[in-house]
Amino acid sequence: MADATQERPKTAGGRLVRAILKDPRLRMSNLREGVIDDDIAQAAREWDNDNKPALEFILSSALTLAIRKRFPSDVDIRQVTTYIRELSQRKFPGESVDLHAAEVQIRIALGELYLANEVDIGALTEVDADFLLELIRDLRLSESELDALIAQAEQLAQNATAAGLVLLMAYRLNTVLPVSSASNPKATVRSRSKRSGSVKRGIISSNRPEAEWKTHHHSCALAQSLRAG
Amino acid sequence: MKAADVWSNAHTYRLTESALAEVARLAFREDEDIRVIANWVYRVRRQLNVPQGHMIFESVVRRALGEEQSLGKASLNDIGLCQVVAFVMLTRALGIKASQLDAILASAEAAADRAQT
Repeated sequence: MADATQERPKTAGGRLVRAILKDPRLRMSNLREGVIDDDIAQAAREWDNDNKPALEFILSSALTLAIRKRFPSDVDIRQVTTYIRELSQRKFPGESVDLHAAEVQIRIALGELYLANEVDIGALTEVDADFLLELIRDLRLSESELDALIAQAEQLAQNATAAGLVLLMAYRLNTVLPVSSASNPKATVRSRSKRSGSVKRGIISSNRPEAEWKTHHHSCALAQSLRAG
Repeated sequence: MKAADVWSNAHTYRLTESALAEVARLAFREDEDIRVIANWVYRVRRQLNVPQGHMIFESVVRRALGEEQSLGKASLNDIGLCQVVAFVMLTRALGIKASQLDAILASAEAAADRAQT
């Protein structure tokens, strides 16, 4: 029987990913504008103080795991196409989700690595990233299942094996979450209290552009290696 | 005439769409495993040295087989070109003779005419 402590996120990055996934209302625009709940703000501060900027890898690994949980590797691709179309209509009515990009992410996670070249991360939007978060949320995991998924994602991210298979999230998070005071005048992040609904201010991030860029380049290097493969 | 103008002509667009549907149905089953289609698209792209555009290419073939398909953010020009390339490559792969090709194009033309009216 597995040790229960191994089933929980161990890193600040993992705890931040959990907080993001647990808030069903959270959109990328909230992260960009800094309108986030206390739990996420707190997790973000802890992550920011951590020296392991593996957040994108944890999230992309979690997404890969979630996709594999939902679909068997030999799934009829038509089912994937239908699922993302319906999820898009259900969760993002009237919004322009790039369904091709979403299908590509899922099929890469299921093993069609040659499609990595199809991911034009520069052309993807916040709503495309929101859609990928929704893919994980739509599994409707219990607290313990979500913890286990993230713990597993942390391990994968540490090994940097599965990380980078899903590149979109990495790119978007690099862009919106770490609000550097050097590059963004809105370094102070507003935090929306769950209970009172009031808005308060807290610092989410500081001076880590170098680490962020290293992570971004790591993602790009992984993309390159996938392309070469 | 610019390439984009060719595809904005609805009849031309429908003609290529119908022609592709004719040969796609000869090459693949309606319920063909999408990975088989994807594998063919991948090999064609390699043969023609086209590094990107897999999803548009695959989607036009899947659509030709009757599947409801989003064409993403592809332009009319991209879709039209993919239809023509897919038609040509499938025709070659199937070894279709000139007389058969005439019949296929006549049928596609008739379908495009019907759609026009």
